[in-house]
This record gives sequence, C-alpha cells and structure tokens, in this order.
Amino acid sequence: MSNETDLPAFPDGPAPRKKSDAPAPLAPPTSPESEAKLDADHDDHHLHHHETFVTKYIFSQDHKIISKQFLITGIIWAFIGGFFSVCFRMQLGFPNTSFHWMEVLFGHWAPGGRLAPEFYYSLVTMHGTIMIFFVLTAGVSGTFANLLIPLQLGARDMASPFINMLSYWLFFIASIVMFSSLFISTGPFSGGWTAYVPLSALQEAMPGSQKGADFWITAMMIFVVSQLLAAINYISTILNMRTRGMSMSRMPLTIWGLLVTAILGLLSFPVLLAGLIFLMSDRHLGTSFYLSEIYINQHALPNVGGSPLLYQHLFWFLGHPEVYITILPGMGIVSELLSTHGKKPIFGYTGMVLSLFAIMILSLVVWAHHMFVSGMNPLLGSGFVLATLLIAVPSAIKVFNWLFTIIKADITLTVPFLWAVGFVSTFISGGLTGIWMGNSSIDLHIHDTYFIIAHFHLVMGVSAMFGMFAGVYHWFPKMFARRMNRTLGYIHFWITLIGAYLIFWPMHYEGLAGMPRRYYDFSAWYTFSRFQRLDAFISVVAIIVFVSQLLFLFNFFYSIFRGKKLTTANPWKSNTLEWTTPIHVGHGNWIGEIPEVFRWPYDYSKNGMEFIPQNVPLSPDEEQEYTARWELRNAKKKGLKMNQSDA
Amino acid sequence: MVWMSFLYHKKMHPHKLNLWLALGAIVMFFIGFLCVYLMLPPPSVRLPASCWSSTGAIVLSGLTMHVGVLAFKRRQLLLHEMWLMVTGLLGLIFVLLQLVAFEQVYHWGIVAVHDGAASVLCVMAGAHLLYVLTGIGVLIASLLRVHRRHFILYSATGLEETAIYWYFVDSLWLGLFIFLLLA
Repeated sequence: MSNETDLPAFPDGPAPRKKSDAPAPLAPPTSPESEAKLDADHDDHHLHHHETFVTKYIFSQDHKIISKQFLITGIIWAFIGGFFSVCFRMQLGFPNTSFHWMEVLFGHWAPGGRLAPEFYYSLVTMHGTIMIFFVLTAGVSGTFANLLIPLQLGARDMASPFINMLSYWLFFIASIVMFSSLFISTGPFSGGWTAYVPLSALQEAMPGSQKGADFWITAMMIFVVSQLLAAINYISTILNMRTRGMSMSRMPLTIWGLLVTAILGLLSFPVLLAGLIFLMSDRHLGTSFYLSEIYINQHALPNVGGSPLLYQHLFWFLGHPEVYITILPGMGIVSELLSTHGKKPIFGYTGMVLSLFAIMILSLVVWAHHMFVSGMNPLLGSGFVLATLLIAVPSAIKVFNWLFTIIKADITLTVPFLWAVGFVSTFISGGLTGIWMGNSSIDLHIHDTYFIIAHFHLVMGVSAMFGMFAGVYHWFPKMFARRMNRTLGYIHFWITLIGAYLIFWPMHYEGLAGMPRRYYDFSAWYTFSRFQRLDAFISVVAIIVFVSQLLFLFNFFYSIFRGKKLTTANPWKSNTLEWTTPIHVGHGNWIGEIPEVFRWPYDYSKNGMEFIPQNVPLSPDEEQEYTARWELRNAKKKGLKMNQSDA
Repeated sequence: MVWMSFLYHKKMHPHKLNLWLALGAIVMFFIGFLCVYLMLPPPSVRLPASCWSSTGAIVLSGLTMHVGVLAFKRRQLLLHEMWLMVTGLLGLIFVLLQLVAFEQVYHWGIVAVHDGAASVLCVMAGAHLLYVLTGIGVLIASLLRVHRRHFILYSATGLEETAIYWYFVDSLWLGLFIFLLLA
C-alpha cells in the first residue's frame, strides 16, 4: 500500500489524486541515447529505398513532405497577400502621398508613386483570395491534415498517397495561374474575392475583368479540384486507417476538427465549381445564367433571363462554409494545445465533438446572411437570421470548454500555448460582433462597412492565423527535428496580438459610423475624412505587424537548418501518437509495429503522472475503475429497463 | 461515440471509400446545376426523343455490368470479358444517342442568350457525358487488366470500384432524366 508521498513531485499543479494502490509505472522508459540508436537503426533500415532528390522532396508521396510543401507554399502566399494589404493600407492611410518604391515595384499601376484606383481593387481582391483560399484553406488544412492525420492516428501514410501528391500539385498549378495573373497588362482580377456578377461576367466592366478574371476563375477551378481530392483522402484515412484501439472516441480533437473541415469542403466546394463553370460560360459562350437586361454605354446587351442573385447564392453556399473551413482546423489545434500545455484533460470532449458537427451542419444553412441587402425575399432572410444566431450556441460551447480547460491548469507559458490563448481571445472578440450582424435589421446599417471588415478579420482571419502559428510552433520539432527560437516566438506573438487588436478594433467604430469598405479614397468625403488620422494610425500598425512577421520567417527558416537539435522524442510531454515516432521520422513513420492505443489522448495530471501517452496500457487501478464504471452504467440501464417494464 | 460504431466494425477498402466520397462530391456538383436550373425561368424546349432510347441503353448497361461482375466472382473470365464489352458498347451507344439529342436541340435553334434553363440542361448533359466517357475509359482499362491476366489472385476490389462508378453514372443520368421530366 502506498500514499501520496510515493507519487512524483508535482509543483504548482493540481494535487495528485489519492489512490489506494500504487500506480503502475506508466510512461515508457525513454532516454536520449536509446532514441538516438533507434534513429540510426531507422536510417539504416531505409537505406535501400534509393530515393532520388525528385522523388524524395519534389514529387514525394510521403505525407510529411507534402505537409511541408503545403506549409512553405502557404507561408510564401501569406507574405505576398500580407504585403498587398500593406500596399493598399498605404493608400488608405496616406491618400495623397506618393511613395517612390511603389512606382519602382508596380510601374504604371502606381503612377507617381500612388496606387491607381483599378490596381487598388486588384490588390484588395488578390489579398482576399490569397489569404482565404491559398493560405488559410490550403496552407492550414494542407499542412496539418497531412502531417497529423497519419501520425496521430497511427497510420503509415494516407489512404491514397498518390491522390495526396496530386492534390498538392494541383494547388501548386492553381498558385502559378493566380500568380501569373499579376503580370498581365490589364492587371489581375479586381472584382473582389467574391467575384460578384456582373463585374466578373462582363469583360467590359473594368480592366481587371478581362484576362485577369479568366486567370482568377481558372485558378479557382483547379484549386477546388485540388481541395476535393485532398478532402476525400483526409476523410477516408480518418475513417479507415486508424491503428488498433484508436476508436473514434479516442481520436485527438485536432483530427475531429480536420475531419469536419474535410466533410464541409467536400459538400460545398463542388457547388462553387458548378457556379464558376456557369460564370466562365457566361463570359465566353454567350449564355445568360447570371446576366439580364444590362446596358453598357447606352447599348443593351442581348442577355435576358439570367439572375445575378443566383451567382451570389452559389458563391455563398461555398463562401460561408469556407470561413469554417479556415477556422475549424484551428479550433482542433487549439483544443489539443490548451490541454497539452496546460497539462489538464480537455473539458467536455464529447461536447467539443458534437459542437464541431453542429457548426458544420448549421454553417451549410446560413449562407444567405451575406445577402440581406441583395434584394432577397425578407421572409427567407428571417430564416437565415435564426440559423445564424443558432450557430452562436456551439461556438459558445467551444469557448467555455476552452476556458474551463485552462482554469486551474498547470500552465507553462510556452509559445504555442500563447498562440492558442490568442486564438481564443480573438475568436471571442470577433465572434461577439457576429451576433450583431447576424440580425438582418442591424446588418442593413453595417453591411459593407468597416464593421464587417473588423468582424471577419478578427474572428476568422486573425484567429485562423493564430491557430496556424500555434500549430507551426508546436509541431515544428516533429517536422524538422529542431526547435524554433523561443524569444523570437514571444516577441512575434505579442507584437502580432496587440497589433491585430490595434488594427481591427478601431475599424468597428468606423463601420458603425457608416464608413463603406472597398473605397479607394475618402479624403474628399467630409463625413469620413475625419477618420483620416485613425486610418493613418491603422496603416502604421499594419506595417509594424507585417514587419514583425519577418521575425517568424527568419525564425522558421533559420531553425530548419540551425535550430537547437531535439534531444528527446517528446519535447512537449504530449500524449498523442506522433511523439512516439523517432526524432527523425522516416518513411512509414514507425519502426516495426505501429503502437496500439489504450486510452484517450487527454490523460494529463492523472494518477500522479504529468502525462500518460495513448499507447500506455491501463494500469490495474484504472482497469478496475473503468470496469466498475462500466458495470455501474450497465446496472443503471438495467434498472431503467426494469422500471419501464414495471410501468 | 457508440452511434458511429458502424464506421469501425467492418472497414471498407480505403480506395473504395475514396470513390464513394468522390461520388458524393459529384452529386453536390450536380445539385449546384439543378439549383440553377430551378431558379431560372423554365426552358422553351422539351427533352429530345432520343433521350428515351439513350436512357434505355444506359439502364441496360448497368444490368450487363452487374452480370459481368457476377461472372468474375464465379471465375468465368470469358463470360466476364464478354459482358464488360457489351457494357462498354451500350455506353458508347448512350454517348452517340446523347450527341444526337444535342444535334436536335441545336436544330431547334435554342439561343443561349435568351434561354438560361436550356443552357443548364446542355451543361448538365455535357458534364454527365464526360463522366460516361471516363467510365468507358476505366472499363477498357479494367478489361485490359483482366485480359493480360497478370494476376491469378481473384481480388474483385478494382472491378467492384469500376462497377460502383458505372452504376453511379447510370443512376445519375436516370435521376437527371426523371427530374427533367417532372420539373
């Protein structure tokens, strides 16, 4: 018999539970030397593969390499997209100032160092498209689904590695098409990331609607196919390739988030593809799906019978789920990280999973809240108001669960943990304003103003980005077997968090005052020219935040080659299976057998142990406890049945 | 999560699951088309008469496919090859009859700028035609694989996937046809 004093010391944490029997030695003995040996064995084991540089790093079918490809492509796009936002913020903050570097960079698109109005719209459009689709969809889902699904579920690779490779390279082709549109003489597409008709359907509408729109639509079509292939693979790997003992109810919440994201993409992306095919055929084959009774320079176009609202419905049927596609992987990552770094079991696992599904289902039936002022039937609108407000319920469940997870937790303020908390913070701040604009009556006033910009940047742009940063800082050691610099990570976090609030918080006030978005210049407009100094302030902060991202860029690439080498396979003391692989993970992930899973992933601070990995068998104690619980449940059920039969 | 237990009691071959998921995505793709069709003013044309015979051909091809799969499972390879060829031929007949239907619509002189719904009809039938052509390609590949007899193992997974795809393309057209008749 033993008592508490036998248990390992537990400074600052929750007191270990009193147990009648001594806990069995649970954690597997791992020492740096034995791991290094394993590692060397692993390399030997794979020498006979004879992979060339091309098959290993470029056309690789290994999920880990594909995940790095998605991540690095995503980072490059994030910098391009972010830089564009800095450029158009210069116009908004300092409308009558010329910047010589802009003329050097953009040539005749910035005559005299001032952005041309058409190019301003191009930059805004490209910023939105790049950030939402290429960074927060492909970059986030692509990186973490590819890395974590096989590693956390105990699979050697994805269900179909070839389709997986195909999905990355289609994304790459889409990237090339989108990027090359920056170099055509009429400029890239400039009709907004939503590409509303008739701006996008009529070549005459504006310079960007000529070749630029064709490039945009083509790139998006290829991108949709790439995302569909990826989603199919993610779902079938999750449902089909889990290791022994990894039941659905023992999956880490990251995987649940990625599963729901993939299902959502699979249901909504094809509809956008259909919409884009019609858009293309309206542009080039002379059909009238979206066009009707339009006059250009007093000449009537022959198109009759189409409906521009139709496009909006098709677009937002993807467009709304899309914002959840960007945020749900982040939600999964944050749930995992708060628990791992707080060394406390996640609060309400089942609630987390069910709320993910509730968000998924609701997000498919709220799309028309983007169209309250479009002339849609108001009765239809009130249905969408109801669905939109309902989505606050599962979101709130998640937020409260996160908060209850970190209350009284044994927190170590690591960089990934800070980013995860930052995610919760921006998600709350941005999410609360969603309840305002979900009401169609309030939306009439704030629709298309800076209030909307503030809302969606905080709740989905910044939050999803924070989720991505949290994930990158957390899984970097797994990806590259080295650590990122902590100090740079802290500086990066605090500048980004404070900067994000300083940029987007004031925009709420501008929006409430009615300041419309997508305007090139407010200086001649008395009502809004009083916000000029505020705009300048926002622009300056935006530049600082953008420059601070260079810290991350430096930290990331420097650490790949020069970072502190990992000496232990499980640096964060995490329970999930990816940390049971060798430090340098080879093709096939595990040497020998794939570990079997005996418990859920959140056994932190249990039985006096700081963490108990999923592949550690139940101790006799736990066995007894679970059996007793099981019997109690069965007895209760039986009793219930007997009561019913009595009645 | 007891309610999801059906997912892990009997695991499907991952490639087959991939296929089912892809079919789900294709269904969503066509739902997009159908929504557009319903929201536009009704088309000025009826379905051409050859659609009836093409529908007959593709439904029949589904049956021959099924017989072919059964023959493979009974290890009657010659019979299997024959039925698969009949299936492919019926598929080709379907494609030809659909092209005749397109010709007919073209002759009626539908002006795309005035009749959105008729255009949707053509886009839908055209997209479906591409799927059928893909199916015929897969059928030929699967025939070649059996013909070369590289494997003695009677694994029916590949063939079953081909068959699932074919049934899907088959029922997709049937669904579209019934929808267009009723709508």
